[in-house]
Amino acid sequence: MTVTDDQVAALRAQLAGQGDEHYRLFNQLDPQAANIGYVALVAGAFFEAVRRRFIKDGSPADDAEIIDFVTSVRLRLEESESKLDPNVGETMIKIALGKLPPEARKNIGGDVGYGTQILLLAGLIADEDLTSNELDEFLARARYFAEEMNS
Amino acid sequence: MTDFSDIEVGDEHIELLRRFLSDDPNDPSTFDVSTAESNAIAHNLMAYSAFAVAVLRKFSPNFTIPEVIRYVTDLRKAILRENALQINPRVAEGMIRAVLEDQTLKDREPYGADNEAMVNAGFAVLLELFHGAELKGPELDEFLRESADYARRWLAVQQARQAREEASAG
Repeated sequence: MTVTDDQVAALRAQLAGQGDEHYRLFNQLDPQAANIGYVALVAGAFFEAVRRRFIKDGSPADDAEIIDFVTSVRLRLEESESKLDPNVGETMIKIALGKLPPEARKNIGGDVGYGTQILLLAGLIADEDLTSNELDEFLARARYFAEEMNS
Repeated sequence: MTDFSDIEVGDEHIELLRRFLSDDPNDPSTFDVSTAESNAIAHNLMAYSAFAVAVLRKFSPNFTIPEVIRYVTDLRKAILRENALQINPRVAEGMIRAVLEDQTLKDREPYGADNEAMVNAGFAVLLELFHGAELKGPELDEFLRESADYARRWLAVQQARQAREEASAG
């Protein structure tokens, strides 16, 4: 499985807050390839961003910090806060940290899990306030993880 | 479907709630009550009504959804510090917003969980709000009266609905 440059560009635009550019690039993606490659890239980026934020000195953050972060993302969504189920959000983060086993997401549908990753990823990257170069480096690592996880 | 036709909220139910809120909830004698189903329903209704009154006192008449979200977040973090049984945030927020008659609430009972999660959330919120208010003496009496009134109004609605359904089925 390969993540393509145009898939990375589409996600980069979203994480850089360039909504219109993101939609333009995303709509140009090959749907079949995107269903695998783009989804894997989002998962890889989510995994990387969660571990950057919530692992310090080799130890995962406590649950209170995770609760706080998911709440902060929901509050940023304002009237759309119901798009992020706090139980799903916290579970996805804990799985990425190894605090819960992968089986913990067995009752979370594919679309819900993906949508949750996107929302949380946007929040994580917004909080990091990355420079353009730092965002490129982050996406390079996310792409590496995505291809490794799906190889 | 629960039969509410012979359910009444009486002094014993109010007294048990008083003991639960005022005494040690781990003392088994607090719950030394008849196990008749009608009594259990009335006890549960009193507990739910106390939860509802506590929520209304805290959040109404003007509330925002962010306030409810932040309240439940802070409660869950406090519960974590106490190493107590966690509550489901979606359930707690849904129950609070339902009491407040939030017209934007699309979620419905049991809020993606089950009855046990609702009971846990309801008790956790009730105890936190009640102890935070530090009600004693006449203020406690007033709170219990309001809770009993809420329970009786709720019961009257259910009994009327049940009577209508039985009349149209008959």
